Amino acid sequence: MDRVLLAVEDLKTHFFYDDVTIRAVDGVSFNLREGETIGIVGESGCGKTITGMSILQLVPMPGKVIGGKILLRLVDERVIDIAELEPRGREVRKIRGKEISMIFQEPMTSLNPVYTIGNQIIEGIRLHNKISKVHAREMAISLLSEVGIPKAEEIIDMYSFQLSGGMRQRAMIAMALSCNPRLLIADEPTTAIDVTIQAQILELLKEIQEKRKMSMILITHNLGIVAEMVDDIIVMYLGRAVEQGNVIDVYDNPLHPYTKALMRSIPRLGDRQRRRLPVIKGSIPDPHSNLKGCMFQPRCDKAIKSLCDTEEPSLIEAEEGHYVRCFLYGKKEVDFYGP
Amino acid sequence: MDHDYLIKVKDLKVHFPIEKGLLKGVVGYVKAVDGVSFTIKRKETFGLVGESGCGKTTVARSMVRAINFTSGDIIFNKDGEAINMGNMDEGELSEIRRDIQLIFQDPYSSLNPRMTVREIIGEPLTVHKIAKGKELDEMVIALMKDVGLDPKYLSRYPQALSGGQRQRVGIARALGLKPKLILADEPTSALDVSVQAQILNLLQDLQEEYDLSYLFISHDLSVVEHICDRVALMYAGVLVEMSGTEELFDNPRHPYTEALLSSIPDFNPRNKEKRTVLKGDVADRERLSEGCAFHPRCTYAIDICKKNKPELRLVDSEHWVACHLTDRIKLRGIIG
Repeated sequence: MDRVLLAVEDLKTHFFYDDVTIRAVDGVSFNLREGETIGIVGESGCGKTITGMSILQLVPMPGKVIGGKILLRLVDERVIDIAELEPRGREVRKIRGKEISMIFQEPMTSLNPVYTIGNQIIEGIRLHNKISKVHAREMAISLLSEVGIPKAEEIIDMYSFQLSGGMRQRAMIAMALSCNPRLLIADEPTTAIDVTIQAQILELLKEIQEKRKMSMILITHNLGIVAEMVDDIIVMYLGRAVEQGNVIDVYDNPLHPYTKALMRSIPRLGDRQRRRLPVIKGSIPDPHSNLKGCMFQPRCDKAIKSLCDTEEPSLIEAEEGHYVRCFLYGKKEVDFYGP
Repeated sequence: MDHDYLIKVKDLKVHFPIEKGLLKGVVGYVKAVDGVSFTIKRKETFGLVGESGCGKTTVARSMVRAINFTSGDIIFNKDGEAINMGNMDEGELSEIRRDIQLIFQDPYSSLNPRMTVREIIGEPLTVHKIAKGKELDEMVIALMKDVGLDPKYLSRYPQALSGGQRQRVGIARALGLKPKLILADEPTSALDVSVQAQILNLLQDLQEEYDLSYLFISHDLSVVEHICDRVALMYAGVLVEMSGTEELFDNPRHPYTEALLSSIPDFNPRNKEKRTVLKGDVADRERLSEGCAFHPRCTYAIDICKKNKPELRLVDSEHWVACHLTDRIKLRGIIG
């Protein structure tokens, strides 16, 4: 079995506003092995993006990683805890882009429009490697070809706004790969692009991962993409991991009422009953609202009175390797082991 | 057959001039819509599918004359009387727009942030002098109940509402004038999945209650399959395939349809096989090549595809395809 590359234990990232504290991520734990992909799914405001950002200590103000461990195994076998690093410090900057890279949802806003594509890739390469500009440029061109950009030696001198959405996203991926990271965090990498181009980008990510034996954290709201891309899945709702495990187990036998309802509410290709879609009542509560008990309880049709609305359930192992945060499955706590 | 149509779009063309230089000389045209024809029947949901920039929104905007189209006819069936919208003046248009309403994709930017829910939903009723004062309030509250909005939000501003609630406000506003046709432009794309299902159900319920027809514009094929009776696929300004929904999904006859269906991620985590991935990029509308617009990305393309533009023709009952090779190739639908 492959070894664990990243172990996140009880991660807590909170946002501190004058009058209120928002628990954007509250107790997320998982292990990611070398070469594996884990998918973090959920709707807006569930904390999936903040989980990804926390791993790189990129949480925007006034947010802060305030608890838990983010253990990363370095190439030299040392294990460091990213949660303890200073967000603006030198050490974490050595990790960003080199050990762990991230690609974002909107390539138009995450690429700088006043620098050429090449400039931005070369900057990253030379930040982490002591090599000449000419050599870095050659590397950048070969990276661009690797991600399927035709005429890379011309594209390298173009600006992001001269490229199509798909090409921009490829350029972003090239940039993320520039220092050969062992973990790629992809935050909704295909949400802003057309389906046929989405298919290309997903195939590309799979190929690159295979070739480079890279681990990946895929953050998305699209359950179809998760089914296709990941080994393990974490379903998040309002900052909590409500269910997690192997993707086949979770899809075959979803346990949490939220996961069940979510899967039922999506129209699936080839389903001809044309029935009304089963819905989850209400909408995602405002994170400012002071919810007690289980976060999903106001929308849950299985909620147990004076239990679910008073006490928050903890994550329990309902079946082997399949975890759920719900009182319907008992009260036992789980332990995750680090690398 | 001919009298049960609600609206007919015939050979619609919308060409935008490309202007260059100091004197804004016209150097060419972007053929955003280049000869599109279809009919929407009463109480039907007609899907229009395509990638960004294919012209689907331009078609919808032409159908309320929000933009003036270059050529073609749009004929609306007003209680048995065929009215051509192409040559209407503003007064007549304002009248016909009571029958055709729009719902937009982004409920965050399509509602005026300085207006309360009462004002937003009531505005069309005031403009068309249908109601005022207490009567107006009652109508607005009735509309809110119809779309599943609690009347307690009457005096709220859009920013105090969730995405799903805002989309309900947009729908209530569209319903106020008792339209016959609603042009829904990606009505659920900006919503969370759990909310999307609520809005889709609402649209179906309202169709029954108000006898509505929908033009349902979307890029999400699983939603389209769920809600539409018939579907047309658009690529680079033209329709490439049109048929009943099941027929289109089971038995696609255009290579683009096959590729689109294959590019949708499968819900089954056991099935990780490689898909047919369409090469190339979304068509660049300023530089369209000769022949079939899709040929640079088509795996089946032969010489004729590069030279001649295929016509949309009937290949089966109610099944239209624009492809030279459709009788010679066997394409894969979602089953098998």
